[in-house]
Amino acid sequence: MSALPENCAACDAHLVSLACGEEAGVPVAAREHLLGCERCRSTLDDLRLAHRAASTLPLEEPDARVDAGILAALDAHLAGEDLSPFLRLPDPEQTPAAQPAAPARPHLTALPGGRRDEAPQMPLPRTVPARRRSMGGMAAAASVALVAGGALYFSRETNLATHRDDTVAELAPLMPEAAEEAAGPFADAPAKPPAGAKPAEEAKLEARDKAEAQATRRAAEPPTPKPMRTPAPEAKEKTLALVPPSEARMRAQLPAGPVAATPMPQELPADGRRGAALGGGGGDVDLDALRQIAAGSVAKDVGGMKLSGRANAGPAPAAPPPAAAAPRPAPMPDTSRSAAAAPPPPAFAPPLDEWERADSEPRAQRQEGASGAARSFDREKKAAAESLAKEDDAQAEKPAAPGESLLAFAQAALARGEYDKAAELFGKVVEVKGASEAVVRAAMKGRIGALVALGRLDEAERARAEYLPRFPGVGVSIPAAPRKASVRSFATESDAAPAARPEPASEAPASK
Amino acid sequence: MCEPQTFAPARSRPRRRAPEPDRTLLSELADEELFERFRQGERAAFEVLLRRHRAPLFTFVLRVLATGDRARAEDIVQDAFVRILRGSGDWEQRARFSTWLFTIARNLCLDAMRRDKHRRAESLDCPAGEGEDAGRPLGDTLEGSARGPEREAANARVRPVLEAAIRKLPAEQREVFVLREYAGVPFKEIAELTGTGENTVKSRMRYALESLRKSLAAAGVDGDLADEDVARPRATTVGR
Repeated sequence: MSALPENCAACDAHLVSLACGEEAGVPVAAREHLLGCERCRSTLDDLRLAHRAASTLPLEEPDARVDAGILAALDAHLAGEDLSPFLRLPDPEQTPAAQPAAPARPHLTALPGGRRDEAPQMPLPRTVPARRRSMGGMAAAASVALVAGGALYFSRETNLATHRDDTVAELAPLMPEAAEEAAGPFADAPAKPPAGAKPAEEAKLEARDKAEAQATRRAAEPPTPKPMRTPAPEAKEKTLALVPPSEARMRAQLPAGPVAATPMPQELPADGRRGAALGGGGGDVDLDALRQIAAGSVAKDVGGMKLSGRANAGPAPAAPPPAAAAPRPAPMPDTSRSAAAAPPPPAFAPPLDEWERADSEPRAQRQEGASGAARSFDREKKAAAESLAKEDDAQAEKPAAPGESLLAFAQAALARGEYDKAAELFGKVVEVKGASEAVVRAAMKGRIGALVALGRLDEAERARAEYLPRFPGVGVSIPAAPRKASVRSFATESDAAPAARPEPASEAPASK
Repeated sequence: MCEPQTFAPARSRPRRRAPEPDRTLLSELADEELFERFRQGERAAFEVLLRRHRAPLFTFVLRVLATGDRARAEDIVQDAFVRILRGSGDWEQRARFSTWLFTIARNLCLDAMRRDKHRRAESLDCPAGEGEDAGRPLGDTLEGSARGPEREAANARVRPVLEAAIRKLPAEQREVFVLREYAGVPFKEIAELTGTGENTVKSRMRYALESLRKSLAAAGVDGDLADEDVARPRATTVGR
């Protein structure tokens, strides 16, 4: 032969085809090789043997009812009928229609310790538009999630400033100096995005952030009672019935046209103030503390501002619209001496239902004449509060996970204003072995907040640099605007702020 | 000459029986031609396709499932044909009909096997075990052919071994083996059907045959059993 026969390896590739009878593609060289190669021939014989043995197995016949079913389907097809009844297995094409609607997105609920959990979505009335629902959920979360200083970094540049504006607007008739003082660090903060409708997603994220900030919320025992400035006696009876700012905003919007199309107010007040920086370094308004003040004559030092209040005896006026914050009211007389002579404050942290009870009557009065949507919103809020209370109870029964108790200590220290200790404890939580991701995340965020509150911005920046790569997915839940703002930029703005803001010289001395 | 028949009786003429379609001619047509005729409304064309493919398809499904669950295999076969009917409007004559049919059946088998991973249940039809006395009753598999009693006895001895060996094959080898041996699908089509290369298909077939050979050797079956006359032609030529 002129051409060399294929070697065994090349011939081997064709043995299966030869054994199975597909000889068309087998080259002649392979056949010639088989003639002379005993090994390859033996292999082929083995394969053929297996092939022939397999062919002794008979073809299986299906039952006659299968043929009957197919022929019936054939007739139905020719008659133009639906063939689904003839399918015996689950039909993926029909599944979406047959199955019930997919469950709605789980409702995020804040749990004690700052953890978020997924709870069944609250039943919402069908008449409430989607935007209204999202705002209702946001307001419900905001009414129970209280923000302390640790949340400053993640929340200072967003529309949370709107909340501050609202709260300042509510407090302004009572404590103009305090509001002015609190407005300081944000007086020259970067301008907010242009006014317009807030995206629903952003609102959700905001609500989630507020829930997350509950990790850093702890009942702050007020330091030694200092001379407090209290509002005028007649005002004391009626004011400080605080309404969650988002709720107040929604109520203010209710009469004006369809709620779903009402944009969230974004613009700054007329005098350019950005709102109060209350609570542990100025993250957001510590509504809980304000409630304490309103409900139980508690004196509290929040954000360097001394607030005091008494139990809410009378009906509260409706929350003023945000625009009411623009004109600065006249300073109130200093009644700190009489407040200092007041009996010591009662124990802190009354239960949530107490707050709800105290708030229910004026709320009912305020709602007279309000739309059904507003009433449904209140029902949602109550349902959210009840859900949270139940989860609190359930959470109390659960054994503490590694690092959770330490995290609670750290958060308590943060709430007390012991930022040094808090930063140290948070750092230890991160090092706890077996700590859950939620605990570590809360600890890292709390540490950043504590460091920011301490003014150790370089360390805060480093802590942030550790946090971001570790929880890249979690970062999605943080609103976009604060994520973009770095601690360093915050520091720069904070340093520049006092120079640019107007000096509240005339009102400030009263509290100094 | 194989034009579609019209069965509407003519009123003006004396009533007479509508002529039956020439099934002999239809059975000589390729699958694709038959299916095209069916799409044009010829019911008998689909009946020919059904008769042609029901047994190979059922065998394929039964062996691929490897559970011996005939009821489930029948469900899959019926579903495969019903889906063929339902998708007939979208069919384009780019792929072979058999490839389409077996692809549907294969996907249904994969779905069924996926479900069975979570819900393992023994079928009453499933062979009880292995060995000479185990497995399906031989009477179920014996054909009423005119083979000699020795041959039948020998085959009856080999079948449980073979069936057990086929069940033991890895799923991808079993799939290729059954498609080739019992459905008569060429390697090239198997490659299209399974989404792999032709050489990969051949390799799997090779491994499957070697495994079977080892199983037969372990059971004491030598080459004398599988004579040429025993090995009957499969569906290789059907519709091709």
